[in-house]
Amino acid sequence: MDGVPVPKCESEPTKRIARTPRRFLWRQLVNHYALRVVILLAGLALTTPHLAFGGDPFELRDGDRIVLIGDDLIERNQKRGYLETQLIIRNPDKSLVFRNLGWSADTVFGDSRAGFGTRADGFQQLKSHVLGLKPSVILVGYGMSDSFAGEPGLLAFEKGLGILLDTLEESKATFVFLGPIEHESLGSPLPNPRGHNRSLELYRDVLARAAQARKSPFIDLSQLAPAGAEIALVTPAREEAPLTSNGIHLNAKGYWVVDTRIANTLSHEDDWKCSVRLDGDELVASNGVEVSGLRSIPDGIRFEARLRRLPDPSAPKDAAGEATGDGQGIMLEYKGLKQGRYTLRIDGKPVRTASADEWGRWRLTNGPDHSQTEAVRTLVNEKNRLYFYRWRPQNETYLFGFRKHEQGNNAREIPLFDPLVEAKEKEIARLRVPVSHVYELIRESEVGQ
Amino acid sequence: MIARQRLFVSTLTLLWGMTASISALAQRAEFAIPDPDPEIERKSFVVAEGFEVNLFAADPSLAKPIQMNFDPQGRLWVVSSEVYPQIKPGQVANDKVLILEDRDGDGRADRTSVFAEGLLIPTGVEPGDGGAYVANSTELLHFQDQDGDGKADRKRVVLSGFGTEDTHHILHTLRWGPDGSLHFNQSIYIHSHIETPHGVKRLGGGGIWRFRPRSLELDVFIRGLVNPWGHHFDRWGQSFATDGAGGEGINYCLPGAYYVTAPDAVRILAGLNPGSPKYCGEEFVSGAHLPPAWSGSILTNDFRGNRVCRFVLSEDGAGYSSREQPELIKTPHVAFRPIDVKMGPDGAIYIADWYNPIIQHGEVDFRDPRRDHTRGRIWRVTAKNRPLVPRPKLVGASTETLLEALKASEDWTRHNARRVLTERGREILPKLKDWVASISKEDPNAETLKLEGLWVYQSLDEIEPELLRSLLNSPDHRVRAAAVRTAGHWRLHLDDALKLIGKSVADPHPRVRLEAVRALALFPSKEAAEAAMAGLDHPVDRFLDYALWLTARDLAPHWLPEVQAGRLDFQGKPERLIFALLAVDSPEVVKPLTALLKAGRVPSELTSKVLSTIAARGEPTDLELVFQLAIQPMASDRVNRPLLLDTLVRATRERKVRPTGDLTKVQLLLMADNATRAAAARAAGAWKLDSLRASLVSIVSSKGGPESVQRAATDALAEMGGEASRADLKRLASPDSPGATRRLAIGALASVEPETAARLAVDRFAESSRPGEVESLMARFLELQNGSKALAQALKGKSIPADVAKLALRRVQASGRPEEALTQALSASGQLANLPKGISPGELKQLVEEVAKHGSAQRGEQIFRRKELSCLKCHAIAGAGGQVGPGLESVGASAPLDYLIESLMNPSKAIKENYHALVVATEDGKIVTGIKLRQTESNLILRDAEDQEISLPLGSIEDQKPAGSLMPENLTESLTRSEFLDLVRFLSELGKIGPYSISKERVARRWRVLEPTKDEADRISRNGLDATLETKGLTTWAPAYSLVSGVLPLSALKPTRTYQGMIGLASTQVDVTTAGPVKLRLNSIDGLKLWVDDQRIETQTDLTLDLKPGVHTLTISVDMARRKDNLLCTLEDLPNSPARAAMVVGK
Repeated sequence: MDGVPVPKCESEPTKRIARTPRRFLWRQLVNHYALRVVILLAGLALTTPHLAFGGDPFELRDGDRIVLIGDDLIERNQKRGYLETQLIIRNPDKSLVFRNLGWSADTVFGDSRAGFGTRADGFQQLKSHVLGLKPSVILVGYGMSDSFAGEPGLLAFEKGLGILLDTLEESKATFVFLGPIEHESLGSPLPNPRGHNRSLELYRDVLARAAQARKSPFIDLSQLAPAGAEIALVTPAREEAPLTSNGIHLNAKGYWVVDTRIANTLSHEDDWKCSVRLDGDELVASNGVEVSGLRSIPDGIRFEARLRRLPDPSAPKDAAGEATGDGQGIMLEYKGLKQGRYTLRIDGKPVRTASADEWGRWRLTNGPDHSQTEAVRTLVNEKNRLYFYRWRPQNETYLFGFRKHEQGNNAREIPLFDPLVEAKEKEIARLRVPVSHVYELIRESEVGQ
Repeated sequence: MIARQRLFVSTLTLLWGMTASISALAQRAEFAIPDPDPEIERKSFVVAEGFEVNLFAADPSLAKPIQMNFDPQGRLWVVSSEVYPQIKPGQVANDKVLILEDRDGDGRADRTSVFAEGLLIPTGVEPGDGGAYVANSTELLHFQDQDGDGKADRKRVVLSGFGTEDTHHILHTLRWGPDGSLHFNQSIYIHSHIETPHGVKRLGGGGIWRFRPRSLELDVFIRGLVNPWGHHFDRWGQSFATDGAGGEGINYCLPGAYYVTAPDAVRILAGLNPGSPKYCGEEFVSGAHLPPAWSGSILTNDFRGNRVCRFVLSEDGAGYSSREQPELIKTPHVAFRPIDVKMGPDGAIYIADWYNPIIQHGEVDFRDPRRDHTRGRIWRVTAKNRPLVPRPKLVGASTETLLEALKASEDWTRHNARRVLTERGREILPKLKDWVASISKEDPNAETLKLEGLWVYQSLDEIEPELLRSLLNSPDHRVRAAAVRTAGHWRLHLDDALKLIGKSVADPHPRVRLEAVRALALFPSKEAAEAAMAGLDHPVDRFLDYALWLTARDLAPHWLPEVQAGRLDFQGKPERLIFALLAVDSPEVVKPLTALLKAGRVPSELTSKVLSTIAARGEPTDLELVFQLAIQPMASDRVNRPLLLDTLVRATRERKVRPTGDLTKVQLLLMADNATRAAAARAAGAWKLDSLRASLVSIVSSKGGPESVQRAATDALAEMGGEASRADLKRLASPDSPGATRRLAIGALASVEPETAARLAVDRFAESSRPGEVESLMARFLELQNGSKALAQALKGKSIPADVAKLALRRVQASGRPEEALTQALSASGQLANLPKGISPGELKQLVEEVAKHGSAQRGEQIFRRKELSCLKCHAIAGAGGQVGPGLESVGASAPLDYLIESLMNPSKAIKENYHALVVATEDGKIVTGIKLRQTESNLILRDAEDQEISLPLGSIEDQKPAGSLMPENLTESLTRSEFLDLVRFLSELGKIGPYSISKERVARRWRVLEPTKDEADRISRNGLDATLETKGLTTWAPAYSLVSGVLPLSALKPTRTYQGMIGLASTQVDVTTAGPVKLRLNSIDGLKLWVDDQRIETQTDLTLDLKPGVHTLTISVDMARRKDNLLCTLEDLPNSPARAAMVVGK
């Protein structure tokens, strides 16, 4: 394509150059206000947002260091872990490091990071934290807190955002922009969000324009409630259920939905298609699964299956303990079974008993691979908690602040969280790779005892 | 002296220069860790007459309780943290919320269950809304148990973004207000940034939040306080807070007010018990089980002094006064750390005992092995021979029963009934309406009961205008005040809220007026400001004055532009407009003020204030107006000339503006009174009035002139600058000049030619060792950014007397800055041996033993009071003394001996919060060191080592950085070893049970004693005391302080010979806030005469004084020949007197 824009740092390492085509497409598509309309229209027709843009989507690379900055949208994400988990398991061959630097009520000026100092000090903190992590990707999640300044604050926001991005350019990282979510209407006595949503719209536009100017992806997180196409993909179980706890903060379901939307954009991933079709002891087809060792055993069949990648995390459960959305299942199709009831055992553990007909087509939604995903998510959350102790330790005043002459000796403990974080990451690296499981389908008479 | 700023020393010192391990720390434990048996602890309690204590719960089922609250079922919820103060790498945060139940009602918990775990230093718990709110570091959580198994299975983040810069300051003290608001506190170091659906809320510093859990509205209720771990409401909804690191006892919470340490505070409200130790937790006690006199009093905990204390509040105008009573519990047991106190369902008092020999963590190492992480107790205190209150059954009771429970005399019952009613929701409304209607007019509590009803409506967010209206007109002013506050909260739902509240501004009771004035601040309109300022038509006390000032400022964006545009003049009442303008004190108020001044509408008593505001904020032509008025020949009668001149000078220095017109006329004032002369000289310097140079030189050269004027003139020459000035100063600084002149001239020269001045200073040091001279010269160099460098340079190769070097070094250390080059130069020039820093563990251990064995607290107190140690210059005991360092009244009860010793030797190693020095470099080359008091939008205010407040414009600050302690390091070097042991022993006894605990009597502790000049002595000798006092002819009073016991020793007096014999004079002050008779008691009247405000009164041991509100001076003369006893002067209440009076404390 002609006229491919030259990134500012073209002479810099290949990574950025490699990403250029994607950026270009973004520039084409993230074309000011019309953009969101395009996304929405496209979203209605297509399944995932990146498909709406055609061509190469943003792709994470082995060794990427992804730093997340922003307000509560980002800070609270670290306790959910959906985004990191999704990106990790969708890229089982890549080593990705995530560092969440979100801070409640933070603004593009670093207001929440000022500590005892001024806004300028807060900004310095933001800068040094981000640059100190040597990021290759920076996920920018600002806007909600800023938006409360309303229209009068818009110009300052735009300017502040520009300064922040210019400052962080030093890292030569690729930016990815998130738009703030909508203020969800939850009814009285919570406030009517109409006015605030008008502000959010304005701030979202600023972010979209900044993304466009910097040829970076912008991920629109508005329009969550009336499920957009990419949400339709995961079919919310109860469309009525709110996605926020208070109008402005995502609940578990909300993070699951939003993180999926982000992951779909950042990870070059087709629809989840994972299926095994057998006819007797013949493998008819498989998709996303490597099947081996298929053979008949007395009154049944046996094979080993290894997923190409783990399924996405399952939807969180609601208060009643029910899943709030469909997860990604593994489609199992068994033809040519003799009549009777069969039990599926995975790694020797019974999973389901059903008739031969019922085994004709069935989705496995809570197998060992799902558990493995959940294990990754648990580790991600544990890692994030340890990292939180590391970068935002309690008692900072005494450890590093103006009373460090009293307790600064104990500051030596803080770097000791690093190996703990790394240990969790090693464990994550091990678990992000799917392993082979033994599937056995055996007639009931044989397993009844 | 002593720990001017820190109380304990971290173990850092120990680790210094050696590879001490944690086990080495363990070996140095100076006190035996007490036997943890709860019965041993219980037996150590000295309990108030008529009360007894039993153990309700203890470890191992309970570790480190932090906050506790009962639920309506009578179960006690406790948050406990073993992780505090800091999570270790690899440690799993598994702190807990516990539920303690006493099912059989025997006063002992028979079941402890874990409701929630996996928490990180949870510091607050408050049951409610079907579960419990829990403060968990950065978050406010709500836990619910949905399946009824007694364990939380649902967690909701209610709010997040609370700061964690200090784990004993994090979100704490959760408390339901009677109106259904959840309150919680944070402390000085915490910066919280919270997103709510209503917007982002930030609070950097201490304060109390007010939160509506249903609508998620979050607001700051009050700002400031150092570490406010106590907050409770009286029966009429008024808030009071205690401070675990402040020294003013009970704080009345005026809505929206700023308290000590509040960020951006221009003016703060003081607590009700200045000079108090620190308190943690707070509970109004009430109910039938306790003796009737206890009802309505406050319990709180002196956790440092191992005491549970009681205060009685009484109304004092718009606010309150508070008086400490004998303790409920005191003990010598060092691990008894009462930190929370609550009334229980049975009418007994419950006390959470954090149980720890080590408190705090700022100053004591996080990992000090003496810290206890596993123990904790809940004590239950009952009144002997008084029946308990039957435990009310509220959960599951009928709505009618719950409404009847609102009539209970126990706050516990009413509060929990309100909670259950609130959680039932709107279904109770019809019955609530009937209940309110059924309240009999004959019922003596009818009004208070209706208020209970109003609060239930408010808790349910149900507007009930009719009930509100009736309570706004209640015969009980306390109910009216509460109703006004509710009206403010309901303002958006009432048609005529502004009018309703505006009416209360004219209420006969000052507190109702105060509530109305503050409620009006919630209305963003000029009409609200107009309505509020009408409050000035009625008597205004200090609380109301603060409220008016605050509201005028809060509403300034709505009324000030209107005034500027000439559309608003506050109903043509200049005093209202002037009050509001002075409150705002910004450049915008200058034009309206000058207009009033020119129109002759400024009342004479306000003229000086108006002029100084104009001078501080105005443009050159405005300044000219002030200047012209200041130099008018007759002006001295009407205005405070020195104040105005100095304000103009400040405007010139800080804002670079000067009055227009001919400024040389200031020369006229060089011949006025001394204060005016000095100010005029400063003006001549600041305005660089060359034509006045000769006059200034002659002032400096004249013999016997007052030093203040001479110094001003010398400095003016320096500020004027130029070759001529330098020449003048060098001449004045030459050895030909008298010593004092030389010193002043060298000091002034330092600011323009530091190198020359430094050489001259070193020459001077070589020949004079007068302490005052050395210190004052050192001070001049140290206040300059390049001063110490110049001095160090000039000292090279020079020799100065060792004593001079020591004095100079002391001054350097008091700067709070390292100044290594200068320290070395002084040591070298004075040939001082390099003193080894620190002390070895072995030496420390030995010292600790010797203090216990040989130290005498009685001798130590005398050493403490020695002038040359200047301890009292910076530290107060029970409020009396300097305010630069922390008060020491309970230091012995809280600080282990080893920390005390290390604090004396190395003051900067551990510093009490809020007592860190700040070093500020200003654009004019100066460097200022002091304790940060507050910072407004425009200025940083510091308290320097001389206890002076220094206000620095933010724009003039080039750089600022934290420094250590302002306490000099070598203060104790002049002491012999045995004196040192005595001093430590004295400090270690402060606050412990015994002769060195502070009595609760209102004893005069802060005195002024006359140190007469020769002239004054002559006059007394000639005219006698009465005539001299009546003509107010005595001005040279020096501070003096009572002993810890309260007596002022006669040796503190400076007697002078008169024709009546050797007479000593001492004076003290009484602050009367509500007029009425009070009793003043003297231990004996032998040899005494008394004057009140310079009027002689008859001398009796029991005097009845009937004084107007304000500060009154009591002067006592002592005939040294006839008096043998020391002086003890106590203020006491008279039965049925409305008077509220207190002894003035402070420096």
